[in-house]
Amino acid sequence: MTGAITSRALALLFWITAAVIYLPIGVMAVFSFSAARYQILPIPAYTTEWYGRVFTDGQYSAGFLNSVLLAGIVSLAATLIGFACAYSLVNARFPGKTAFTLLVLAPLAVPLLLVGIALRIWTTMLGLQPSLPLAGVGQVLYVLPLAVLNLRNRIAQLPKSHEEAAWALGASRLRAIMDVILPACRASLLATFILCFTFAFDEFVIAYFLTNFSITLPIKIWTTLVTGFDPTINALGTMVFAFSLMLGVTAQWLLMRKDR
Amino acid sequence: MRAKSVTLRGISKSFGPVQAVHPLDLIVQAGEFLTLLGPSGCGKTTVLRMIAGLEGVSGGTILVGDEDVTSQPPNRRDTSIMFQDYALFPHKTVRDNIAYGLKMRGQSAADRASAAEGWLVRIGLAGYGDQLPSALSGGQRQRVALARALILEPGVLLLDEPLGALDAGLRRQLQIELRRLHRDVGLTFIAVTHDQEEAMTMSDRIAVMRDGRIEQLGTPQDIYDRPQTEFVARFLGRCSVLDGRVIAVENGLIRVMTAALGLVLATGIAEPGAAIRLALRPEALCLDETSAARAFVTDAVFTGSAIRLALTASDGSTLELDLPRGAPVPASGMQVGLRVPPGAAILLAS
Ligand SMILES: Nc1ncnc2c1ncn2[C@@H]1O[C@H](COP(=O)(O)OP(=O)(O)OP(=O)(O)O)[C@@H](O)[C@H]1O
Ligand SMILES: [Mg+2]
Repeated sequence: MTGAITSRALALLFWITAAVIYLPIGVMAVFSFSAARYQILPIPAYTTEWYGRVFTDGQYSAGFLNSVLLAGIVSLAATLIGFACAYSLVNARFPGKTAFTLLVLAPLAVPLLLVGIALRIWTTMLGLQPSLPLAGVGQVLYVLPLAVLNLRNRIAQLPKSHEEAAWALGASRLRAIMDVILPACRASLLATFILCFTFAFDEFVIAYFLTNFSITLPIKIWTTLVTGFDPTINALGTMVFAFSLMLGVTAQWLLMRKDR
Repeated sequence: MRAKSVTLRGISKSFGPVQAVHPLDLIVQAGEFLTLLGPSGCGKTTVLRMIAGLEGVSGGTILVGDEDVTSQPPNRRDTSIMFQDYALFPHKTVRDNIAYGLKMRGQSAADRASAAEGWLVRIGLAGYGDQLPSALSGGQRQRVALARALILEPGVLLLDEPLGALDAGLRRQLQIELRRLHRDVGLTFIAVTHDQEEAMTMSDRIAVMRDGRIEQLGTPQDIYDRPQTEFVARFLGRCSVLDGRVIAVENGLIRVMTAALGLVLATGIAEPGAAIRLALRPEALCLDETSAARAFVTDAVFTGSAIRLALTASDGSTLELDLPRGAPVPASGMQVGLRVPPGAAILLAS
């Protein structure tokens, strides 16, 4: 009896949580089809005009391209560097390894705003001009812990004997990684890349501090909102949400599916 | 000849506070099949991994042939190792698994494929080359792992519990096959097992290990018939242990007064007057109604090849005796006479 009640309460909790997360996005999605310039109810008429605007307004598409390009390069770099870090963390035995692990993973817990400001101060001290590549470097630092965490879990699962067998058969350390570890991590690497991509794609604070208002999509949305509301944002937001959700689900699916 | 000897000079290994292997000396002859035998945790795997180079030594030197390999990485040593879980590469086909070592040596794809094909035929898996290891049975995987390790014709092949993952019937069959394979390829084999029957079936010599030390080294017969310690005697099979005192030394045997069975002529060298222990295998003890040594039958168990009697001697110690099949079996509670043939009991080191 109590078991049934508990499970009903849990189900209810789940739906409330889901509602709190998705309702605002749902509202945004509904208004993205409203013909009115302002968010008023009842909706006077339905239109897909705002969606059209997203594609015809050059600034949005430029922002989108910038974001995709930046997030792509950032995620690729983070995945590769993350793999190297994760492999060393699993295999190397050196004093202070635990401290090092914490150090790599700690940025996850630091408020992004602080990271952004710190990076801005630091790069200015180094005399570096704010630019898109610089923001890329900052974003790599931001998503790296995710990549390391993800890949470390996978590498730690692999039987050590596979790699040792490769060594005993004449493979060098690097060769064994390429032949034995990497193929066993294919799905995790892809999932890590996608996960990093979704985070880097949405990332605003670092991009804001480390570029001179070069437009990535989040910055474009921000500036649009600051200068006055434009219903195009609803359409754009809905599309970005659908895009991110798709990537996120794919990444989760890859992670849950067994690496073969 | 490809086969190489292995010389261990005082090698030891500690993991933090745990001394897994105490300084240990061992010479394995080229072409020999030597087995490290011992209970779980005695350091067998650690010794094997040190020879392969997968574990560094805490002290001592390792020679493969005449070459000091102590500080060489595994890929530079003329050794191959087969793991207990076989460690086949799961995403590579059986053929690519077998040919992997040749690829690392830089052989051409055509040469590799034909060499691998030869081994597939040899291990009875022709036609399985394109399968993934996950499609094979345990016994088939074991053969693929063997072929993968042997294709390089290493001077020394190391085998960690080579049959450990298989069921009893298959184990017995593969023990014989492994022995035959060893003779065919003529390489040095060093295996690890905790199964004394397996060790005796396969090996030229056995090193019995205990707590990171070699307790006794010898041929299977040596070790079975002349165990030097109670540990070895008990590990290699059933045995009874008798306490006694040496009365005299005669014709290379010792006359021992035992509490359980009276006077016994035993194998070994000891000073008259010394308090000693003797080991006695169940098949060495005989029933003899004319004997003054008496004991009560407490149980009779069928072991397949014999009837094993459990006995309680007059001093309360327990003994075991194997009756040949067909012999009349005394009932529980009956008193019987016992005789120890001269030399059958073995002196144990104290
Ligand atoms: N990497 C390691 N780190 C710490 N201790 C270890 C390590 N490897 C082995 N040991 C310890 O060394 C001792 C010997 O281990 P080893 O694996 O050589 O035993 P074994 O004889 O092969 O036993 P088994 O029959 O169970 O495989 C054990 O006490 C084990 O706990
Ligand atoms: Mg072991």
